[in-house]
Amino acid sequence: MFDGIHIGLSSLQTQKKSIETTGHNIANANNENYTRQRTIQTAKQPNLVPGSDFMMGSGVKVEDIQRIRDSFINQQVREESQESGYWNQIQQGMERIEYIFNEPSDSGLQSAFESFWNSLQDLNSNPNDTATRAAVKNQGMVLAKSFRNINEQMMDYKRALNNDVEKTVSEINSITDRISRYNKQITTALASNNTPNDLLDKREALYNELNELISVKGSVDKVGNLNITVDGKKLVSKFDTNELKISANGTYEDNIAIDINGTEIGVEPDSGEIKGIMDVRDNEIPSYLETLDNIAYEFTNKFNEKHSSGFDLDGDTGQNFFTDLGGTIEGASRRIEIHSDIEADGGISNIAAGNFSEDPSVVTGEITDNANINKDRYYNVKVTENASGNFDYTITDSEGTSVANGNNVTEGTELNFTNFDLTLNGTGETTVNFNKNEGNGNNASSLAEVINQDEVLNDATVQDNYQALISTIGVNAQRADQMKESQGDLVRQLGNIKESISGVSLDEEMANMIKYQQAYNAAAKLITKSDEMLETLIGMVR
Amino acid sequence: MRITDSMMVGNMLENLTNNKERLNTLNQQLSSGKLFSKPSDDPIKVTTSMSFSNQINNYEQYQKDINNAKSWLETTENTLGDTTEVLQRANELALYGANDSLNKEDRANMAEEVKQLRDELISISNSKLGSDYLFSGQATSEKPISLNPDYDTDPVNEDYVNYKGDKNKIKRKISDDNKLTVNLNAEDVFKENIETLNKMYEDLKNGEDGEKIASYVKNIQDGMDKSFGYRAEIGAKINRMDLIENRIDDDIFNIKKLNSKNEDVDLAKVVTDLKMSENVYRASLSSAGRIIQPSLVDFIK
Repeated sequence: MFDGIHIGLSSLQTQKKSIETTGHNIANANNENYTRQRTIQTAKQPNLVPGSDFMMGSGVKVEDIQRIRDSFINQQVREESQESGYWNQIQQGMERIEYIFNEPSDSGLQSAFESFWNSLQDLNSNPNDTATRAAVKNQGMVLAKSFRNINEQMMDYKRALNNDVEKTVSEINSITDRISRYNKQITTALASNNTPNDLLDKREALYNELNELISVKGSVDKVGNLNITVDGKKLVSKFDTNELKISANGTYEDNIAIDINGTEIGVEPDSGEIKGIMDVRDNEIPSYLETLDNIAYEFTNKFNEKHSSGFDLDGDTGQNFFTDLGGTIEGASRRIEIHSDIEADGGISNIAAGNFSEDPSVVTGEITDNANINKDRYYNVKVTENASGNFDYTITDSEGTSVANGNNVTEGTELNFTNFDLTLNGTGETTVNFNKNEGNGNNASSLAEVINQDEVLNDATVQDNYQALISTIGVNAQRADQMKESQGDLVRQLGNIKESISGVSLDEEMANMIKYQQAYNAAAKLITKSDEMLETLIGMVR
Repeated sequence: MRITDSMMVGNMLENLTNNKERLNTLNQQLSSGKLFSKPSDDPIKVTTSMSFSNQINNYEQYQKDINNAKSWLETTENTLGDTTEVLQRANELALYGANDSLNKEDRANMAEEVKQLRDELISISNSKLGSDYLFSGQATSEKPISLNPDYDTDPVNEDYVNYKGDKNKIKRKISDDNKLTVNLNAEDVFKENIETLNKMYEDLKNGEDGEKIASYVKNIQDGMDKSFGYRAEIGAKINRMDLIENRIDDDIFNIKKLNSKNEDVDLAKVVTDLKMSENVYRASLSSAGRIIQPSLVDFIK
């Protein structure tokens, strides 16, 4: 007779537990790390009905409170979020680099080159005009500054990324530390047969976060510890962590290492945010800077070479326009600046607009004895290329007398005459004279050619090289955009699948709530009815 | 698929963001008029556009350079025109002076006029463009023709004037592969004529006979022929400049057209797309409003 009350009671308790679980689910409906839980109800151990051979049910109990999840999908989300974290960083980096180069615009390096070229063309037309000379100096300074600006901003960014690596490393350490603590709590709970659902959720959330930061592998051991390795080295092992460290090398390209019992072992993650940051820092930025340095270096040298072959308003030759960069290409875009002699007050008269040669690309001349040079004599120089790719030349003077001729000499050959030298630079026919007058703008146009005609680097002009660099940056940035997009989509889709399995549906919970409430009501009714029945029985006895 | 509430909200937000991003891109295109604003928007179009704008910059500079060179040539042409006039008058005077019947006073008057012509020629040869002397070669700040200080002591052997410039050519770069000489020097163009007029003046002043004066006719006419020659040469150069300028104008026009095709948005298309995206965005907002609202919660009392 009391069985009914017992059964009713077990149902009341079980439905109440279930409603509480539903409530817990509803409460966590917007907790993105939450895995929905479900009470597993099971029939209680049945009793043998005395004097019969059948068993009688004894009610219901909560067997377990389960997390509803698909660990395969969860693992996929994590793996893809490593890639996603990586591409997020690359994309951010490329976007920043694009902004640093600031093309196409009216204030980038290309337009600095254009304005400088314009000023040199003007100098060709007005070689002794002060305003034109001042413009050449200013545009030269703007050009050098544009190079330096890009370099400085890139280096600033590189330093910032180096700090980011440091921050990410400490973030990783903080996460692994917390995971190891959860390991302790979880294993303790499991050992006493508790299901620490919410602790597991929290640990998994941390583990997910860790996966975005760095590519790790993890496995749960028999007693419930989550053990994590990176690049094959132990990061979390049961309750212990090995700390990730920065091994600074003073070049803003710090490496990361793992500290195992005091020994640092280098770590090379193959994905995750930290790898993205390091790739931008160590691959993208240096490769663009290297190209920029090459452009700055070759341009400076070629320009100086042409500039020093010309003469200035005082008739002096040999002046550099930009400060000589020495023999190192590295950092050329950081070091480029106009020469102090040009920058100084009155320095614009040192700009070499003139050239003894009408076409310096064919031949340039140099006076070796200024006192005795005959300034009224002209030298017609004709240089042709012969079958073996070398130069043949003939030189006659203004009276038509042959001065010299020769065969099969190489480019850059210097011919020494009384009072002057001639250097053969290319094929063509031109005139050399040693008047040093201010109306000579021959060198200006030849300087302008350094910018957009001469093949300065990689068989292409400076401008072509720069445009190719911008194109490379554009293509890489576009690829990063697309990868970030598609990787993000993938993570979102997988996240949707995960959510569809583990997420809380309020409709469902409300339906469950009503379901459990009805069962609760019915169980309560059962108890009331059993009570009435008992009362009837007791009444009969009375 | 089991759909949960946060999934719906999440997907809806995602879609709203996408729609908004698209709206933003189109708005940006519409307000800037350009298809791209950074290299990654379209690397090929961006570099094409950079190279076009570079060419346009170069051509516009060459236009400026050509105008510069042309004003030099045109001024030179004008001075040569003036020179011809001076020489023509001198020629008339020489022919007139060959007449022996002229009296002393007539000759003195003629001498005075020839002297004026000589000085006029000196002044023409010292013409300037801006601060530069046109006819002194590259020594543009040097006055090309000046009186010879030794002339007074030895008028027979010394020249009346000296050339102070050099014989260098002033070359202007007017296109990627064209350099053009723009200058003439006073020694070639004027010196001989000045000396001729000076001698004629001296002879007239000294009352030499008609035959002596007549001998200058040939010299003057040679000088005129030479002047014509120079004028023709300068004229031909101006023509060539005009041709190059026309070609550059055409090139600029064509490149601008190409560049516009390359980088400018098709307004009609963008406006239509924008309108459409706006509608989509509105629709997604209103559907979002409807989706979030109802849940079983609303129906359980």
